[in-house]
Amino acid sequence: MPEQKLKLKALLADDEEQYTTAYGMFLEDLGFSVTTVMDKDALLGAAGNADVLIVDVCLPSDEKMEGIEAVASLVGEQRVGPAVPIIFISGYKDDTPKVRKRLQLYPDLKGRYRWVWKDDEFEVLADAIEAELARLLPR
Amino acid sequence: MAVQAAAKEWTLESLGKAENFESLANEVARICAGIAQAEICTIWRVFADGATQQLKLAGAHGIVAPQTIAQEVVYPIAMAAQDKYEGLTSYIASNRACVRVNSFEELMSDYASYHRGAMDPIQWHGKPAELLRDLYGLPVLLGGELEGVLKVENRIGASGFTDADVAALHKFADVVALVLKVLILLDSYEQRLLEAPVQLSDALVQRPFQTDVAQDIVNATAQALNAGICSLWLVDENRGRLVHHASYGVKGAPQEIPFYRIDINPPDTEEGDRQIDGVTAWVAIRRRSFWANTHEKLRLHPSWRGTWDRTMYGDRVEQEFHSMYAVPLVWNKDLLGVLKVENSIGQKFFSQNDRRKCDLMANYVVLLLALTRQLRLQLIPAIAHNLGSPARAIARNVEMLNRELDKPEPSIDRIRTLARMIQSANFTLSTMSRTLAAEVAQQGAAQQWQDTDILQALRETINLVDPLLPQTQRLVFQCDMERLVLPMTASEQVWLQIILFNLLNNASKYGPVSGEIRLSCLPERNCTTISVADQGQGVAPKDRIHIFEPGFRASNVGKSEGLGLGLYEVKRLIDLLKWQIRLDDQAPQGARFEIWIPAQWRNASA
Repeated sequence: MPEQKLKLKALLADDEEQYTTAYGMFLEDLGFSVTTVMDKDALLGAAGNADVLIVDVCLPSDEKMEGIEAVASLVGEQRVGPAVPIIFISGYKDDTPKVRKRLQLYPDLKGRYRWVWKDDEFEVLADAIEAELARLLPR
Repeated sequence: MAVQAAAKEWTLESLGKAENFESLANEVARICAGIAQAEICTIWRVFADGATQQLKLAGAHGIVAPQTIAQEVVYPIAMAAQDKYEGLTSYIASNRACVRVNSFEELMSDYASYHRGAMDPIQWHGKPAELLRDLYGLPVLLGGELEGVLKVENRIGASGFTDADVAALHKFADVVALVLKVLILLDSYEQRLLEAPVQLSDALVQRPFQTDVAQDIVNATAQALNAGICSLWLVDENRGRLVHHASYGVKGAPQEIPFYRIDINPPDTEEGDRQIDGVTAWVAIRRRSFWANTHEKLRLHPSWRGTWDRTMYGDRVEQEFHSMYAVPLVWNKDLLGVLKVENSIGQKFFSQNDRRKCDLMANYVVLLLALTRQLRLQLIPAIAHNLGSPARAIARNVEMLNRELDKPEPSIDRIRTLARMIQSANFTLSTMSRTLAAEVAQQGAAQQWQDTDILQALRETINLVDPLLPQTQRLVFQCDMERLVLPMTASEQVWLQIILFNLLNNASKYGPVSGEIRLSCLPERNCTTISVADQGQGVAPKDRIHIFEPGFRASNVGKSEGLGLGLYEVKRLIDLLKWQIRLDDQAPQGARFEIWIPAQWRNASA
């Protein structure tokens, strides 16, 4: 990971401690300062200060997928800047019909995020963050 | 009537095809709009938000943005009349009152203080005065319980809904009530899926047909037909039996006649009928309804055995029995059960009209059973996903643990935390997979009783709970025997473990962090006693009679987290098992729960 990330703030949103613990440690090891939130309201409240968002899609319910909804409102209302990478993490793959259907509700999100499956090893998350930072951050 | 009959038939038919319950509710809204000749129909259902009850959109026809309304419009149900109603829908639900409005002006003159316009900007583009012409709304009730609100708006081809429209809508409201009931049940299942795995386990292993709904059905049937007795019998496919499920007006009989055998299919002749074990069984096996207006007609039926009669009426059967009507419950050629009424009150027999009403109720029961069955089918994918979650959590935590161990100076704190996460996820996974195994077993012949070593079940539960206790807390198991065998089904074994998990979890929460939790098992001649004791403050005397009530939390629990559901769950499972539990409390020295399993338990509960 590039040196510049040492000061970046990662906001990690997941309602299950079993995930926030492992993902939080990994992000710390990457050099991020990590803040963890466990629900949609806390995510909405803390997102303004984040340099990177890593958000569980189902926050907290499977059906509502409030993680997607919260990020869509943050993007729609421009409460996160265009250079802030957004990574969704999920037990679902992004081509699952119910996920696709949900994402279609929020056209603002198109091309704005990367998707990491929770079955994937941590390197996939690291690659996704790195690729988004390279794409979005001013050179 | 023809419209309702066709609509009901269509609803039943569409059930099997419905992708999900939301689409079914939309279809029902479409039918209602057709019945009342309305442009718009909305169906609102009750859902619990914490302690308050609210209404949200369940299904709709003809509205502009159902998705948005479903997400944004919620009406609270006021618990007292003096509360302010959040809109007309809230008023209908709160007062169980029907509302008919023939113009927007009338709405604003009669109900201006209730009208809040929550839907106006969405549905009426902010111009309800121009676009809303008329409306009719009614509360949707099942067995006296509010399930939701049904509303139609903008009558097609007339000004205002006519009496005939309204009457037709009311007649169809029962179907709407059942659909809503299932949606509400689904809510609680979804909620459970998100709650602790223990409660998930319970949701899965409990009987598919909710007893309280069954009771609603028999009460409503008896009331509709003015019958002295009504009973509902459901098929237990695994054992080829027709099992008594709920009854109205029955005096002690169900305990004595718990089931009829229906695992035979004799030739459809009088001789074949003689091989069948009673008229109720005959209705099930032959899938034909049967009615008798005298005891003689009943007695002359080739399958009649008189077992039920002897239990119900004793020697006075001739004097007390007037009439009966029994109808088979069949769904897609599958037999689901039998609905039976006896003794029409105030007249000698059930009229043809009564029998038609009973057929109608039977159709509703079939609808509900079919919905419940579909509910279970929908649950399975959800469970598969939920099983994946702890499995992935274990994988990620193990991966992180390996990364930590690969470091030149690994952090002990991090390793401990990760180990705790792995144990916790493993517990979740283990409980869920065991539940699934029990569920699978329940589907097949494996649901037979098997000799089960309950000490082994206790030890397995300890192994699951022990890693979750604070390091300074000790869990001690006391039993002088190596094995203690009871005949149990796979589900019952899971129930036992859920009971113990809840009791041990409570003991850990309310006992001192560095104290001891004692689990013991004492087999005696008349019963086996399993007890769980802690060294906490015990339960205050004033709280003791409430501890098994849902949502109750003792006054001295301090800051301990909890929903007050654990002991309620325990008591419910104990009741299902026909065991007993009592609190042997020595406050302030600690709480001790004793479970009694009668020595003759299996025989008694068969």
